[in-house]
Amino acid sequence: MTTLKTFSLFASILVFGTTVYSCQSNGLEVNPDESIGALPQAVIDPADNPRTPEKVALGKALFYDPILSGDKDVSCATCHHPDFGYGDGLDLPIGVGGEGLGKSRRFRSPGAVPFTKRNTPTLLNVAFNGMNAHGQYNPATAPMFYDLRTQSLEAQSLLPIAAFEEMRGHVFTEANAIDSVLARLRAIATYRESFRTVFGGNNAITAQNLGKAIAAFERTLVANNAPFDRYRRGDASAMTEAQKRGMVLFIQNGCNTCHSGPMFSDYKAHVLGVADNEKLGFSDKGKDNTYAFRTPTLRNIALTAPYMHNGKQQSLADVLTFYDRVRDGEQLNANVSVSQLDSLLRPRVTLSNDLIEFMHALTDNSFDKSIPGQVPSGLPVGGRVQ
Amino acid sequence: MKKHVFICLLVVASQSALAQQPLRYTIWADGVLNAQLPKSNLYGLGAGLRAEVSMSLRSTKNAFFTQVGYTRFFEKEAFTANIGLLNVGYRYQVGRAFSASLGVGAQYWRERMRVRFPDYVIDETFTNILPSATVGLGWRIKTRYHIGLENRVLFKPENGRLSIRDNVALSLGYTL
Ligand code: HEC
Ligand code: HEC
Repeated sequence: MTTLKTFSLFASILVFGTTVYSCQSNGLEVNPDESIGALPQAVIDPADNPRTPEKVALGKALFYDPILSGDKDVSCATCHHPDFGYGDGLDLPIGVGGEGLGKSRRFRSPGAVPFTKRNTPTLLNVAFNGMNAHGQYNPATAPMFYDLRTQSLEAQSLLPIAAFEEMRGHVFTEANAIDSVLARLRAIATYRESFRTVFGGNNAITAQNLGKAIAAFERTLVANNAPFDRYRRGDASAMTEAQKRGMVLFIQNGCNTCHSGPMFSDYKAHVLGVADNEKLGFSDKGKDNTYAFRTPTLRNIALTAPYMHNGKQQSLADVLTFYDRVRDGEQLNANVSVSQLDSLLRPRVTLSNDLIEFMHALTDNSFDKSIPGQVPSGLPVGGRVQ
Repeated sequence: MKKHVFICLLVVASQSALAQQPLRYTIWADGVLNAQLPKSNLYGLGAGLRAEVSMSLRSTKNAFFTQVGYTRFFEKEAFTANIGLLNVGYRYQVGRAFSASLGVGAQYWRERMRVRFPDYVIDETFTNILPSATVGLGWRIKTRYHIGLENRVLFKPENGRLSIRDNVALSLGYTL
């Protein structure tokens, strides 16, 4: 009797052991189009806009020079400031008529000029916009903006200058904004000199060259050495255990179906039903009035709060709570029904510290934060940011 | 290292305490569930075996026990875990069939993470020793069979935060 019992005991232990052993992990498989890898070490320039140190220096001066704005009070850096990861730290940007920087930036006379309608995206790694899951991209057709309305940094650079609430203000009309700004630049000897050196000829101060110089500078704003990059390049210790678990959660939750490739964006527009920011006073309908917005990069996400096109999510935990509410079937934008939401949204468990830790591993704080001491116009560097 | 010393001490202490009384040996088969499944997708179900030595203290209502065991969490897409556990505790016999127990111990976790990117496979193993605390309920059936329900809380200090893992085990026991 006892031998039988002992025998059956050992037999069941053996069966248990083999069952357990046969349950080996095959691993979580990532679809090629949803793959995420390290960023490349070098940036590709468009064929017609090779980078030179002089061009980058000119672009940097223009980027920080409020001479590009109607009232000479706003520069690109007013909203894309290195202290805020080349964003502005605000929910909605304050361009024309504003003063101060970051949280303390406000309108001098509230109500006179509207807020710019969407949260400012970072310019870090904007050189890689359009990169697919295999790391390929074409800088000449790189998609720009939440609604993908423009291609290439060269073309994008001129648009804020002509936009009323961003830089133009009441001084110019939309049609003559660029020409008026070019006339101002031609009147400044340093700019005449620099444009001639960089582009050649006496008529070098053109809209096209203005765009090219700014774009060349933007292509130097690279942050491609985040813990995640080092990890994917082979340094297993670059990410913590929590970040590695977070990476698995990121994939399990299907975050990488949209936040794919080394830029963590598929550069496509999706309907997430993010609510409007009530400060706007109207509903932002996104791409082609479909309420679709382009997937933002998650690179340097730790530096660019607040989040989403409405700028209403204060922290990454808030963003994850947003995804949890979507999962639970809540309608968050009165104009977007739950049935319109993107079918790729299939979060299961999102509000997790591990997932937040993983997003922190996408941040590389070693980028160029230098601000020029002065700009050729002699105006305050960066605009009215004091 | 300190943890290892702590575990050795517990084993030695329990051995010497047990030496004076008749000992009872019990084998437990465990089904284990990650009670945090709604919050963490990494583990779901596991199974395990434990060997227990227990000894009655003065009255038969009170017993002191030491358990060593093994648990495996089955694959949940990317993760599997092999766990060695040690648990020492105290069991109180409430009625004829019903008992409650408290325990402290440690679990050695060897976790394997595998992610297969199209061009690259990540295959890593994390090993950790996690202090644990257990609270259990038990029912005795006849004299030798038992059913146990136990909550195992594991503590993992990480990035200046104490993260907690919570596992539930439903067990069948047989006293030799
Ligand atoms: C008033 C704040 C403001 C100013 C000034 C401003 N931007 Fe922006 N920038 C934004 C906002 C907001 C967006 C996103 C708009 C959208 O997606 O519709 C944006 C988008 C961009 C993008 C596209 C990024 C991407 O990934 O899609 C680039 C590039 C850019 N800005 C460069 C510049 C340059 C160059 C200047 C100066 C000529 C400038 N910005 C001035 C607020 C500003
Ligand atoms: C269906 C595609 C899709 C999926 C799946 C998806 N996202 Fe997004 N994500 C977006 C889009 C589009 C936005 C911008 C929405 C907006 O502003 O209206 C966004 C915004 C974000 C932002 C804010 C970025 C910023 O700069 O403001 C974070 C953080 C984020 N997602 C993380 C995640 C995580 C984590 C997951 C997985 C749980 C996830 N996303 C799943 C498309 C997606």
